Amino acid sequence: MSNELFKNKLEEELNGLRIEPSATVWLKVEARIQKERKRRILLWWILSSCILIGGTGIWLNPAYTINDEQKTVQNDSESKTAVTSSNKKSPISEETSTPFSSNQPSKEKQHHLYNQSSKILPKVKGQDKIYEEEFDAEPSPTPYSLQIRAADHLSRSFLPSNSDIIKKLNEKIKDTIIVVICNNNPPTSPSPEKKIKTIERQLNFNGFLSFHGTGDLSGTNLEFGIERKWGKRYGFYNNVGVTIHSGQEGGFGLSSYPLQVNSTYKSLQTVTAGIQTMPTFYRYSKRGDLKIGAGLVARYQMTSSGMYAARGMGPGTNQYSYNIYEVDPNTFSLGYRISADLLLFETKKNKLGFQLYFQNDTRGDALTGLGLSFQTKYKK
Amino acid sequence: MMISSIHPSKVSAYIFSVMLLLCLNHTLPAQEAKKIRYPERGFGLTTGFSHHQSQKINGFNLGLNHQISIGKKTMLHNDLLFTIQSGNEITHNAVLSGFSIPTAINPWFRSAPLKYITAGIQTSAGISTSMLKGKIRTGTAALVRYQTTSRPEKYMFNVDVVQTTSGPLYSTNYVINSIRPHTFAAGAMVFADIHLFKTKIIETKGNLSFQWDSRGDRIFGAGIKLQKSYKKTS
Repeated sequence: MSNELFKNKLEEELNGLRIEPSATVWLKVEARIQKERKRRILLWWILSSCILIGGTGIWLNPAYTINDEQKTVQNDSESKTAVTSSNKKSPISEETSTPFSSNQPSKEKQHHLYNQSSKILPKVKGQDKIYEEEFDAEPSPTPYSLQIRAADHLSRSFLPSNSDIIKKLNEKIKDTIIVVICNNNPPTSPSPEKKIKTIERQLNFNGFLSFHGTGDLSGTNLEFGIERKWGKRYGFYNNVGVTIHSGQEGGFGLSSYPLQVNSTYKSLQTVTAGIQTMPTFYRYSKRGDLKIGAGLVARYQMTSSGMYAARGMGPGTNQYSYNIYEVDPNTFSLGYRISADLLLFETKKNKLGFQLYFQNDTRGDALTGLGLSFQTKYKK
Repeated sequence: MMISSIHPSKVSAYIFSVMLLLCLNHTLPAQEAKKIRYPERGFGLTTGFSHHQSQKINGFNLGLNHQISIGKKTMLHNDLLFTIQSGNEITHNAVLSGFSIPTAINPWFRSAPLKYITAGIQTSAGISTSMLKGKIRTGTAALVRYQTTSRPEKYMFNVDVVQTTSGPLYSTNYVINSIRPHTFAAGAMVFADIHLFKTKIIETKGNLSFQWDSRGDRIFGAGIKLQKSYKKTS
């Protein structure tokens, strides 16, 4: 295939691959152009002089490499310092290159046209250092590296490996103009496919005022968990929670021996503490401000309650004694839980909601709670 | 002596507020500071054995840890820890070891020792330093702890003898003189994390801790800590 045919075929195949930057990028470009128009005339002369001097230097320097040029370009002017880390991962920048040949170093000529979106990125303090570090980590490219990278990128992206273009690129071509127009969007912004695959996750921290049983024991339930959103309407939440409830033992009824206010005889205290995990499926409302959940509960519980009797120790003594007949053992139980979460307040990353729940388990314990849920988004 | 009239719901509200403030606090300054440096952070889950030395009861603990590197060897820690212990009153079995309790004859003569549960929620903030090439990290922290317990501080254990035709029957009871069911205390703790092994994502550490608080409680903990390091970039 002649060089002209090859060029035409390459242009034909890659014609549809030009990807326009987003509208916001163009707006920024436009704003930047307006600002820079006035100083452009002055800069033009300075840049022309620099390019002339630089070009002469490059022409006369046989040991010039791509890496050197990239660093030079980055350091020369503000408009070219915007080769950020995002471009590092890009297999190819938008480039027009004349042939690379180690046999003819004096005829090498390169010209890099970085895309406009990267030109307008602001120069952040300390960015030079980051840039240098990133490029230091790169292996030194050979004169054929751009060509190899182009072939590699094309074969991985959209062309079959046995394509003529790939074959041509894999050869060490001399005196061939290669025009490669590729997507130079920052690779850090995921493609639509990746966006779909990236599951939205959030860390949840819930705190409840909760009641154990019919309300005779009250306390708190603190939970921590991870919620993953599946699509727009469904999600899965798994967590670890601790419940602590306490109360005084009742059952005295209309006691004829009521405790005095300053009595040194106190009521028996009951404490129930549990640790539980609750894998829960959520369904979100259309607006996303309400979610209803249902799931299983696995709970380990310790309690000091049991079978007992409180007896007055005699008229006028104001003393009670407690006969303990048996105590409830520490138990492991399974159950279910339903919950509802109403969004109260939302920032870009955090959410605050009001949550209600009810759970019941095989031990016969029923827990209800109402409280606040704090959620913060993250990406894995 | 701490006040004993704190309801658990107030503690819950307090803990929740602290967590909320911590989260917001981490968000705002970190965004300013990230341009200058990216401190290493770690998020971990602790679980293990817990021994309440004052009440001589055993249980377990479960905690969340967050740490931020502030130097080559130094880290700041924010922890939230739950402890749950349970135990039985020991006099009952000691006194009745030589007696027979004929529970089968009359269920009202059944007898069991008083069981008590002690549960606590605490948050701590501290600093640590690493040694032995990072294999051991030791530190100290100040803590605030809410504790609820069913264990009476003072009580009487009585054994009543009832004469029957078949012989004496024994009945036991407890008279509770004082109890502090809900307490709020401040204290201090020392801890050590020992590197065990590390996978690609999670580092596993052994964790030892000992703490004192103004209520007079001393708690020892030993367990494992699963920790994931991350860098906050946004």
